[in-house]
Amino acid sequence: MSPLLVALLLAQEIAPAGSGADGYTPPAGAQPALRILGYVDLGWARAQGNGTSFAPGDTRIPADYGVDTFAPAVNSRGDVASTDSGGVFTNGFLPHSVGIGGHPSFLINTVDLDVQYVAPGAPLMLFTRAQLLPRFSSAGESTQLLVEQAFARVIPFSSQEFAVTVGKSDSVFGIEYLENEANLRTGITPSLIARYTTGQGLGAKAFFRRQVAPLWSAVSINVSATNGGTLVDTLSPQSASQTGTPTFSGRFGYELNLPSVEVKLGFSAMDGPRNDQSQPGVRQKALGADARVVFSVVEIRAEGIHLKQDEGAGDKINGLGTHSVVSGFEVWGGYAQLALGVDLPGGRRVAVYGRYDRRHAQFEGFVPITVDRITGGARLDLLENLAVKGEYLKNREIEGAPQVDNDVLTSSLIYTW
Amino acid sequence: MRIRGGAIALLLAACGAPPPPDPWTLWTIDSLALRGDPSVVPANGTLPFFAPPYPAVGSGTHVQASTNPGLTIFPAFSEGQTAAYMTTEIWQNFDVVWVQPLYIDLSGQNKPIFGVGAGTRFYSPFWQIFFYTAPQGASFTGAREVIASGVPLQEGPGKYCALTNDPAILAAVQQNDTVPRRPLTGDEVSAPVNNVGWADGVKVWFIDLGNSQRFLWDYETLVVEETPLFAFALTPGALLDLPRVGGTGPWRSPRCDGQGNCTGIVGGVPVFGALWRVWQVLLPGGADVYVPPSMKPDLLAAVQAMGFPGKVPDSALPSSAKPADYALRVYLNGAWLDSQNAIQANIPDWRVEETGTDVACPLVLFRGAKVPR
Repeated sequence: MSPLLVALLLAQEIAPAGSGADGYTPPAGAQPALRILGYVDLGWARAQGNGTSFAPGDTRIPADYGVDTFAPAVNSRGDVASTDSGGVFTNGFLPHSVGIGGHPSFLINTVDLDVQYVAPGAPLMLFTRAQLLPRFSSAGESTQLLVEQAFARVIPFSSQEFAVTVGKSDSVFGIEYLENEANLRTGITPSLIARYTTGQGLGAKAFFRRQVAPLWSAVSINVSATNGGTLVDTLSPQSASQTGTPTFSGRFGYELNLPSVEVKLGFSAMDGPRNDQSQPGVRQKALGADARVVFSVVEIRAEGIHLKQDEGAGDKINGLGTHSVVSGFEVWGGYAQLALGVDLPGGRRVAVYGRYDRRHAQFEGFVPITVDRITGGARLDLLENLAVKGEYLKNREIEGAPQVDNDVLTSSLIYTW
Repeated sequence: MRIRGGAIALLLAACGAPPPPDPWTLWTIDSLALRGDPSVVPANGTLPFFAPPYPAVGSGTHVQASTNPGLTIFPAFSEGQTAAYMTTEIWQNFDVVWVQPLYIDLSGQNKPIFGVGAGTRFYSPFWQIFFYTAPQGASFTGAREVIASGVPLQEGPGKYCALTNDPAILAAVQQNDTVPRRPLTGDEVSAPVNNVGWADGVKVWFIDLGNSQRFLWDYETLVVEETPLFAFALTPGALLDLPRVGGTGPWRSPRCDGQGNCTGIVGGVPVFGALWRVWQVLLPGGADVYVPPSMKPDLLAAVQAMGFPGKVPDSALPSSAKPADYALRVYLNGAWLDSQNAIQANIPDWRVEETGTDVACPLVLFRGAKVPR
C-alpha cells in the first residue's frame, strides 16, 4: 500500500491546516501511528435586528416555514445568531444557535480534537473527531460535546484507489462538505444549501477513483448508505435509524488535471426515507451538480441542488425534538464562489472571496419563499497553523418571506494544532 | 453472494415500501364539497335531514337552492335546548388547532388579508385580527406586504372566517325558503354572508358570521380552545346519525349549568361554540331516542334501525315542551342527555372518550335561538 495513496484517499475527510479544498497531503512515511490533532475556532460576530430572520409582528405559524431561519449564520458550523421566535410556534426547521441575538459577541465556535490511528503495516485507519461547542441560550449554559466523526477506513487493494469506510463520517453529496471544518473553509459561513448536503452520516460508504493518465483525467464514485442522508443534524438525525432503512447517496466525479488548470465536475444524488420519520415509505430525494475550476490564483466553485421530501406519516423527531403535522417540502438552491489566493513571503497566504447564494423553498401549502445572499470576505493565513478571517453576509428576502434586517458581520481566528 | 443478495433486499425495502397513511388530514369547505361530504350540498342537491325519514319543514321542498351550494345545517342539542351548526372544516388526528393572523385595514383601502391560505394544514378558520392603517394608495394582497410595509399592527379580537374558493356558497337554504332552517323543527338559524379577501396574493372568499368572537385561544401558544361535541354510539367506533350534543367547556368543567345559564356568552354569542373535539358517548342498555308522534312512522323506523326501541313516552316531556324540539333526543333512565352536564351526570367516564376528530362547527342556533351575527 502506497502511503501517498492512503493520504490522498484520506484527504477528503482528514485535512489539517494548510490544506486546499482537496485536503492535505502529509509527508510520506512521516506520521506516527497515533496522532492527536485539532483546532480552535474563536469568533466575533454581530447580526442585524434580533439575530433571526423572523419579522417583528409576523405571527403566522409555523414561524420557521415562512422565513429562512438559516440565513443569519455566524460561523462555519452554520450556527445562527439566534433562533428565538419570540414565543411564536415553530415546527422543527431551525439551525443551531449561538444565542447572541442582535448583540455583538465574542464566541468560541468550536474546540476540535481529532484522534487518528493508522495501524502499522495494515490498510486500516481509525479516526475520531470530538468537538466541544460552548454555547449559551435562553435556557442558560448549553455547551455541547459532539462526536462529529468516528469511523474506520479500510483500503483493501493496494493497487486500487478504493476505500471502504464504516462509522460516522462526512457526506458524499456535492463538494461543500470538504470545507465543513473552519480551518479548511476559505470563508467562514456555509452556503444557504449546506444544510442539505453537509451533514455527517452514520453508516457505510465506499470511494473509488480511476486515473486516466493519457487524458490527464480521473473519474471517481463515492457512495454511502447512512441513517439519515446528507441533511444536517437539526433536520435529520444520524445517531439512530428511525425507519430501519438506510438512505443512499452518492456522487460521480470527473477531474481534468492539466498542468495549468484543474477542472472538477460532479453529479450527486440522494434517495431514501426521511429519518425524522418512522416509516420508510416517507421519502426524500435530492439531485445535485457541482463544478470547480482552479487556475493560477483563481478558484471558482459552484453547486446546485434540488431536494424534495414527502409529507410525514407521523410526528417528526429530529435534532430539535418532536414535532407534529409534518409538511411536504421542496427546495431549489445553489451558490457560486470566486476566490483569489496569493502566497506571501514567510509562508503566509491571503485570499479574498465572494459568493452568491440563492434558495427557493416551499413547505406544502405555504407560499414559496425565495432568498439570496451576497457574501464577501478575506482570509489571512498568518502562520502555517494560524488563520484570521472576516466576512460580511448580505441576506435578502426576494419573494414570499417578509424583508427583515438579518445581515451579519462575522470573523474568525483559527489555531490548528 | 449473500452480501449482494442482502444489498438487493435492502434496496428493494427502500424503494418498494408502501406509501404511508396520511396521519393528519384537514378537510376544508372546498375539499369537503369535492369528496361529497354531507356538510356541503350542491345546488339542487337533496338536503340531509330535510327529506324522509326526516319531517318536512319550511317550504318542504328538501332541495337546495338552484343558484348556489349550501353548508348543511346540522341539528343538535345543547344546554337542554335545541341548537344547530354548520361544518366548515374537519381535522383528523390533530392534537391542536392554531389561530393565524388576519390583517384588517382600518383605512378601508384593502380587503381582509389572511396570513395563510387554506392549502396548508396549519390553516384554520380561527383568526386573530391585526388592525393596521395602510398608507394612502397602498395596495396589499398578502401578509408579507403588510409586514414588510412596517405599518403599526394593533392586536384585535378573534374572528371566525372559513376560507373557500366558491364566491357563491352560503348556508343551505331550501328552494322556496328564504332563510336557513334547523332540520326537525324548522327554526330559522342565523345566516352567514360570503365575503372576499386575500391570502398569499390570491383572492379568496370566506364564510363570515360577523365580528363576535366565537372562540378562545392561548395567547402564548396560539392554540385554539376546543370544546367537546358529544356523539352517541351503541358500539365502540360506530357513531350514530343522531343530533350531537354541544358541550360548553372542558370535560367535567362546563361553563354552563345544563339549563342555559352560562359564562362566556357575549351578546348572545358563545365563545366556546366553534371548534369542537368529537367525543364518543357509548350508550348503556336502556337508552332510547324520542320520536314525536307527528314524525312517525318514517323517523321511528330509522331510530329502530339504529337499535333503539323508540318508545320514549310523550309523558317524559315537560308539559310546556314542543314535541318537535325533543325529536331524536336521547333518553336514559328518566334523564335527557341533552347537555354536557347531563352526560357527565348520567354516563360513567369510561363510556365517554375523545376521538381524533376536530370539527369547526360554528353555532347558528343556541339555547333555542338564533346566534346573532
